Amino acid sequence: MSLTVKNLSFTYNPGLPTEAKALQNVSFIAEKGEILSIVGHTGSGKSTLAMHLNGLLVPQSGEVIVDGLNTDSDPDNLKKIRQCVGLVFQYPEQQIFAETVRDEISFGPHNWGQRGDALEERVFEAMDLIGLDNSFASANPFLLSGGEKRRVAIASVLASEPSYLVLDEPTAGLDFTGVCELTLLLRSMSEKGICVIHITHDLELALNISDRILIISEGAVTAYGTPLEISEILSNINVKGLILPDILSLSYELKKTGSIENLTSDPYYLAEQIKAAKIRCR
Amino acid sequence: MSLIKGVTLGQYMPADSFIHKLDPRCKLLITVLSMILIFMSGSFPAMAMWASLIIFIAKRSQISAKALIKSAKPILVLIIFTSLLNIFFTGGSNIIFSIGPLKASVEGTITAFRMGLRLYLLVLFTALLTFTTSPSELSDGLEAAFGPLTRFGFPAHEVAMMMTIALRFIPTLFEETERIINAQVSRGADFVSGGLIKRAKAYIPVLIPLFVLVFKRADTLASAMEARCYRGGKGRVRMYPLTWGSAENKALTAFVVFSASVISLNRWM
Repeated sequence: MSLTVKNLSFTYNPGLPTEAKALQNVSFIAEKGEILSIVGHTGSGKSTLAMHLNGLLVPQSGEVIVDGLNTDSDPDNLKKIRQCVGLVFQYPEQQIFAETVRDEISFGPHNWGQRGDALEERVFEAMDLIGLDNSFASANPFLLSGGEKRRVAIASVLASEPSYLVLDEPTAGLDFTGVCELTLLLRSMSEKGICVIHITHDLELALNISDRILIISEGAVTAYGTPLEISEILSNINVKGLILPDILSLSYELKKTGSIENLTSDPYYLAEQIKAAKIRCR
Repeated sequence: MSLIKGVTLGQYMPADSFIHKLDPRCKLLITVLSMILIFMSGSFPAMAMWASLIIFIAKRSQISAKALIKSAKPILVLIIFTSLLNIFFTGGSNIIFSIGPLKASVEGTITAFRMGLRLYLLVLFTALLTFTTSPSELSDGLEAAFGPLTRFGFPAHEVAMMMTIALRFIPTLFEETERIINAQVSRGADFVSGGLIKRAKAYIPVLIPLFVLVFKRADTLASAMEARCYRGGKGRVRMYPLTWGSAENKALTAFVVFSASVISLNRWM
């Protein structure tokens, strides 16, 4: 059971003067229980890719298969796919419409046919996961702070209990604490066996939290692998619009001079390696 | 989503032509004059001349016949409907056929044809204006045109500014609507099945976030305008002032000569 993207290509306004290639021959497999980060600069096709994963967009060529179901098939399948692939859009707090947090979060599961106690249970489970106190249930979501609103919006997707969770730039506009909390949430979701697909432009964040990373540029895959593999690949190629984390650049230099053995973007691991090297020198 | 795909608003087609470069006030004036004159010319030769003028302008401003006809399509239904009414209700002695109390006469058919053709020409002529003038030029032109009315308390600048802002935000709002619809569909919202009331209700989760966004946008825009000391039209100067030069004089003269000949042709017929 996995989410498979095979040779996916998509062009906006084909045949018109405004034609724009958004995706070209993109392929990858996302497994349950892993965090896959899709990293790319603005306009690289990240969001277009996200909309393909739950069938909001249907591939013009290639295919997207979720647990054996093709997104390019009948509407019944599409419903099942959307239920199992939760999509959190950029600035998800903008989708809030309900009068209470409870109503907002129950929107998804209610649409998928949950009623009564089972529905209530899902709502409180989702709130618990995202770290919202039960007292928030009857609060007006429009009066919450920005960070709380975003948590409500993410909870409203979690409440459908998706097995794949796709998040488009979930950290945009969050402060440092917000980013840390969200990272922990993504970790705990993947530990529960959910496949987390995290779309971002922040390579440093991706290197530090992901199991695997897919780098796309101008709609095409330029690198795909574990954070370590990606670190090695990026020492040889330059990806347009991608800023290397300072720690990673530093570790390239240190490795070149032979001071450390392993590339890393984790400051603590780098410090440890430097310390070990110092001891060796004595 | 497919719901709002393919909606094109405003039909400005940028091109490098004499017509495109004309002062919007000149184009507005010519359009208003032609609207009056097309209504005054009832004879078929006069209408043929108007049609040839429309074709000439379209050619000069690189607008394809297809685009022009397509733009007038929505109005065509209305024109056909009025023409049908004309056929049956004009009265006349030469009856072609009758359905119950409805009688179609030769006179009625001719009137209907005349009326329909005139309306169609009218729509095509105004379409030329929107094809060759960008929305911002158009509102500049309107502001200038309504300028004299400010003396009687008509807020010409404010109306033009409102038009510009509205036109500017239509594409943005479409984009935002699309995003909200996508987000709600991802959470299982269903806009297609069920009866009318159920489907109307399904749009509440789209409309509320949209209104919230619109108000926020309006607030931000107002602050941004205030921060740059916007105080309405008084004492405001333009970055690109409208200029009435020899090209405008030529265009207007040519139009006046053309319409004079059409009017005399119409009289003489």
